[in-house]
Parts: sequence; structure tokens; C-alpha cells
Amino acid sequence: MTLRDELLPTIWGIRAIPGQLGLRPHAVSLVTTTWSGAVTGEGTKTVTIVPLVESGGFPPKVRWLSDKEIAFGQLAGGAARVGPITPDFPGGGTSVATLTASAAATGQTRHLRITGPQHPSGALYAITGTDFSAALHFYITAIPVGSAQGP
Amino acid sequence: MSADSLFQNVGAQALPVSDGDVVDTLAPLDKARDGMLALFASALNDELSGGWDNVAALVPSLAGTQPVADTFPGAPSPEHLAQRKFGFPCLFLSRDGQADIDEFTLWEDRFVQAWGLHYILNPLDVGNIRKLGDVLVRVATVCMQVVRNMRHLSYLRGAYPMPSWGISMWRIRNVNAGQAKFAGTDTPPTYAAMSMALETTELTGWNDELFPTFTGFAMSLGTGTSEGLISPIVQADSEVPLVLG
Repeated sequence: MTLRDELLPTIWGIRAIPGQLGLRPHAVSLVTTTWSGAVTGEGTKTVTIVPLVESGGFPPKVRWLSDKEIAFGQLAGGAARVGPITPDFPGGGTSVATLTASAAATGQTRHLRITGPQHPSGALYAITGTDFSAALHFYITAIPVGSAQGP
Repeated sequence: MSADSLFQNVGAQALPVSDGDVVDTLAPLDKARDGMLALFASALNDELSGGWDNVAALVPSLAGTQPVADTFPGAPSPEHLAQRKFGFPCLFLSRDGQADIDEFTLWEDRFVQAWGLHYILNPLDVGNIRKLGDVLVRVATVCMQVVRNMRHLSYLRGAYPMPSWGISMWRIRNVNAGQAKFAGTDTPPTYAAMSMALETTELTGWNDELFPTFTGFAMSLGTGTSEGLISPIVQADSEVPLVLG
């Protein structure tokens, strides 16, 4: 077992502490939508929601980027950064496959749903960037695309 | 249905829109886009599959695909690519930019629309570009021939679909093939792609709903004085004989 393997469960627990203290007011979920029609957007939609959480079901940090960060990153206004997210390990964490929706089928859509004081009714974000370069945390960058749909 | 409608058409888009036109999306209001996309995809898969199957099998990310594995009735913008799972190679078609409107005849206006047709292979390394990159020009020439012939036998059994789309004329304005970035972004990845600018013309016309009880007409035009009439000087009938009384 590597040092990383030993640290991840502890870090996962530590990252839940702000949530336990009520300092993580925004809930984050990955929303995958399947459409029964021939074209995305047609027919009956089926929504699958996977909450993005740290230990105990508490959400990761959500931060809206500053104008300077948006300009340097060539991002749309309102871009948000989610993380640090603890990588997966036996017993918890979030996998790269989950964040990239690598198992999604052609035509399915994938969004990040953020609900909290910034978006009381929830808002959908398109994931425009992922940072998997670090061993102990992941980050997601997303831009708003609409109001939340589904449950 | 609105009784106050203009009862006019622009291409296949008829006013007023009736409930029967749509079910769960307004996409049927633009029959031309979905129809053109299906025609091009069908033609490309029919014409290119023979060579494609052998070579695509050697490229893991494209093994088992058709020349057009996925279609999308929209632009290949970063926002779309970030939200939807695309199968590659993917064919995109959308109305692109402004349309020109001018008078075509005394009673008809024309709506001249630019379209963007994009065929995206995938981000490919230099070795796989050697294997598959030359298909980009073939995609352009197949589309060119489809536009010339206005149909393809693999689509709707070779029927001429343009009248049902409301398209009176279409032409290709230009083609680019090679490495591409989309929607002005400088961020990776770079795609191997073909982009074609098309132009269609849609004409205005009357919607027959304006004259729901009209069956035909007869006209008789004469002249004369109080001493008598010379009639008829001009007599005309519609093709449908009128049954009077």
C-alpha cells in the first residue's frame, strides 16, 4: 500500500469537516440525461443523479471564479470551480470515470447541478475542464447553461 | 389554429403553426435541417463504408464505427461538446450566421440562408491522420455530388426531398478540410475535420388554409353600352370546374 492509499481515506474525512460545520452551502451532483427519441432532446427523458460528496455525504467546495480567472481561462461568465474532490479509493471518493462520464452512451447529456444560496432552485453547468493532475485531489471547472431540470 | 394568421409559408415553415406540427420539440418547424442532415449522413455511410471499415478497425477510438457514427442538428460549439456525449465521426449541421432576405419576384420574397456542415473525425495523432485524414476531402466531394444530384438513392429510396423541406435552391459556397478548432477557441483539442459552407434559398408562398372553402373560380369579362353588351371578351376558369348553385 502506498502513502497515497493510506492518506486518501483520512483526507476524505478531513474534507467533510467544513460541510459538517455548515460551511459548504452548495450541493453538487452529476446529472446524466437519456432521451428516448432519435435526437438528443426528443422523447421522454430519464435523469440519473449522482451526488458529488466527501465523507458523510457532505459536498465539496464550490467557488465562483473571479473576473481575472475567467479572463485568463477564457471561460464564460459565472464559471465555477468544484473541488478539491477526493479521488476514489476502496470505501469512498470519486473516480475519474464518474467525473468524465466515460460510460455514458452516445446522445446522453451530462451536467453538473449546483444547488444552494447562489442557485436556490438549482442550476445546470456544463463541465468544461477537469484537473486530474494531482494525486490527492481533483478539480472540475464548469460554466452555467440553464436552470436545473428533473428531480 | 389562429384565424388572424398571415397564412403564409417561408420554405416549409407554414403560418400558423398547428398543434399537429409538433409533439415534444419544435424541431419539425425546420424540416430542412433534419432532412439535409439525414440525407448527407445516409449518403456518406453508403458511399464510404467500403474503404472505411478496414481502416477504422486499426484505430481503436473509431473501431467498429461507420463513416458517420453520430449526427447532431447543431453547431460543434464547445458548449455542445461539453454537454453531450458524441460518437465520432460526427456530422453537424446548423443554420450559420445571418440570412439575406430580398424580393425574388413581385409576389415572392426569398430567404437565403448560410449553413455550416461539419464532419469531425476526432482528435487524431499524426499516424492516425495518415490512416484516416484523407477521408475528409472525400466527405466533401460526396456532399458535393449529393447537392448536384439533389438526392441519394440510399435516402428515402432516392426521392427528391427538397420540396418537402421547402428548399428551392442550394449550393456549396466553400469547403475547408484539415486540423480545426471550433467556435474561436484556442484551447485543445484540435480536431481532424471538414467544414462546408452551404447556402439554401427558401421562398415565401401562400398557405392554402387562407382559402379553406375555395374550390375554383370562373370569370367572364365583357363590355358594352345601353344598347347592348358584347360578352364575353375575356373568359377564364380555374382547373377545377365550378359547380354553381
